[in-house]
Amino acid sequence: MSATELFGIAAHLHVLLRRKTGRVTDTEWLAVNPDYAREIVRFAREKGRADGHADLLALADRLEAGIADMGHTSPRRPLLEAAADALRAGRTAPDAPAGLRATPHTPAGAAPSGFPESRTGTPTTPGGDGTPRDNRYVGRLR
Amino acid sequence: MPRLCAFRLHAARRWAARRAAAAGALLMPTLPALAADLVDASTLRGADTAWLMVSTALVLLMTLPGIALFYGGMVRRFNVINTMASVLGIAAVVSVLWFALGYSLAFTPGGAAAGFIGGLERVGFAGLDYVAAGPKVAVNAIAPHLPESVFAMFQLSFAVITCALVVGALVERMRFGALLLFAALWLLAVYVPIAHWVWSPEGWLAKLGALDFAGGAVVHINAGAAALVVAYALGPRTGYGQEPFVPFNLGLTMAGTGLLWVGWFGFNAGSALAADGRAGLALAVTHLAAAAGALSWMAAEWLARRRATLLGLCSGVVAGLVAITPAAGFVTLRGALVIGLVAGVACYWGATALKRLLRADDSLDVFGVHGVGGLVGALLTGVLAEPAISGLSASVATQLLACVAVLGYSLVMTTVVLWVTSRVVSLRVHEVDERAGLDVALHQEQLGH
Repeated sequence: MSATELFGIAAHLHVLLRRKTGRVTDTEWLAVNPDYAREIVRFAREKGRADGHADLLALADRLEAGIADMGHTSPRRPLLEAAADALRAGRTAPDAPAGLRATPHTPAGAAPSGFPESRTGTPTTPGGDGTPRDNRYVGRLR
Repeated sequence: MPRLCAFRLHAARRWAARRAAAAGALLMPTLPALAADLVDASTLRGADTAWLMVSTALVLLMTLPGIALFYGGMVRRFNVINTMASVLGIAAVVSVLWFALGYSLAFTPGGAAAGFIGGLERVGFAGLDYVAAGPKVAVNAIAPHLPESVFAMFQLSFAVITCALVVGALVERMRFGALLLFAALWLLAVYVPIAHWVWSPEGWLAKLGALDFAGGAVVHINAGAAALVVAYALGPRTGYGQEPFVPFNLGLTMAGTGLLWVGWFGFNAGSALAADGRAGLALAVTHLAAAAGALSWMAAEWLARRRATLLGLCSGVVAGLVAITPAAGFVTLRGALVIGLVAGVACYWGATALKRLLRADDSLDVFGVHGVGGLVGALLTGVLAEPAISGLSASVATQLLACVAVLGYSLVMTTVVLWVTSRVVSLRVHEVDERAGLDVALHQEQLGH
């Protein structure tokens, strides 16, 4: 299943879940993350059976069928972003000082940055759900 | 108190009289009697009246909606409505009680205990008259160039925000009815006497020469101390220190910070009780201290944690504003810069290391920011006050005495008020309600999706 089809199913499911159950989902994440997709499929089936929403069950089946294809298709990237990454990679590769080639804060799989300001990135990278990992709000606010 | 225009003259005369008496010179002229009167409206100053009316609106905007947004953004999603309702409810309770009793006890001449509490001549919504024939208007002798209605409203806006500040320590776990009863008792038993001590010319701290231009002690040290007591009395929120309490929306907090920053111009520059050069200087130093506080908090946070956060910037702004409050009519721009820079670092420490040391769930760091910031500002006022600006000299020892007195009284009396409140109604919600969130459990309302 193509990324476009997956995204279409996810968007459709997002709308139905919002209307019929009040649950708000992250459409883009739903189309690419198998774990999140499985949880939403489970939730959609549970609600679909409990409340008699056949359309929810059908969409859950279609999304489940596409889970195996998630991650095999590369998501489309904005042209400007791709060009900027290519520029950074090109500048860094042959002649950049060693210290600039790979910074300690460069996320795994991302192109190393040649821009000095990128070296001041935060040492604590967010977790998968977007929340900080260092117990940011446990026992303290600031 | 120097915060009050007429009393600036009053205090300046007394100060000069002390010096003259010490030198064996002539006695100063007799001071004006402290009695409220109906005067001819032509004796009022229009520009000053207009500025105080604007300032009153600005200070009320700091609470409604400034504090409501500032605090509402920092609590968890299911407690936002309760937090905002608490601020609004307190504003309503304090407003009614202010005209019923509080204003009279704080700002009219007292009897035998005049140094500690005011009189009863404005009790029961009395006074603030305007008579079309003449026309005649009531004034308070503390500010005889303003209608008393404007003066009383301006002072009311300070009472409202002081009580509302305490909400930050008790969010997410206090019963709504208990909160309103506590606020009513606290206003009369804690805020009113302290306001009288510091801002009434008869107050014992004012007579000692303590300087508090716009409420470093009366508002911020007082609210901070009360917050600490409430936090201890209520105990920590269920799950505190074990699970993350993610703020609902720091965008709301940012919006609240903006309203606080702008509203603080009314708070500080309005406290000159005149639209004059000193008010202009107060406005400028207020802005500079806020900016300096933001920068120094950000620097401290960067050094400690290698990051600059929006909440840190907002907190630094408030720290700078709190610390400049007692000093606004006494210091130069350079002094304000120093106060803001010191306050940013000190309040960062107060909201992090000191908070851990105190082991209280002061949920939104009221003591760490307002208590510590108020102490820093009050003490630095003693160091940095410039006599050429106000005609008054400051003493660090007197400032320290005022800080200790206000802090101690607030700690003790807040404990008493909480105890009395707990005899009438239980303070804390049931755990199941706390888990469900106070919005639904107490108000049957939800934010929506």
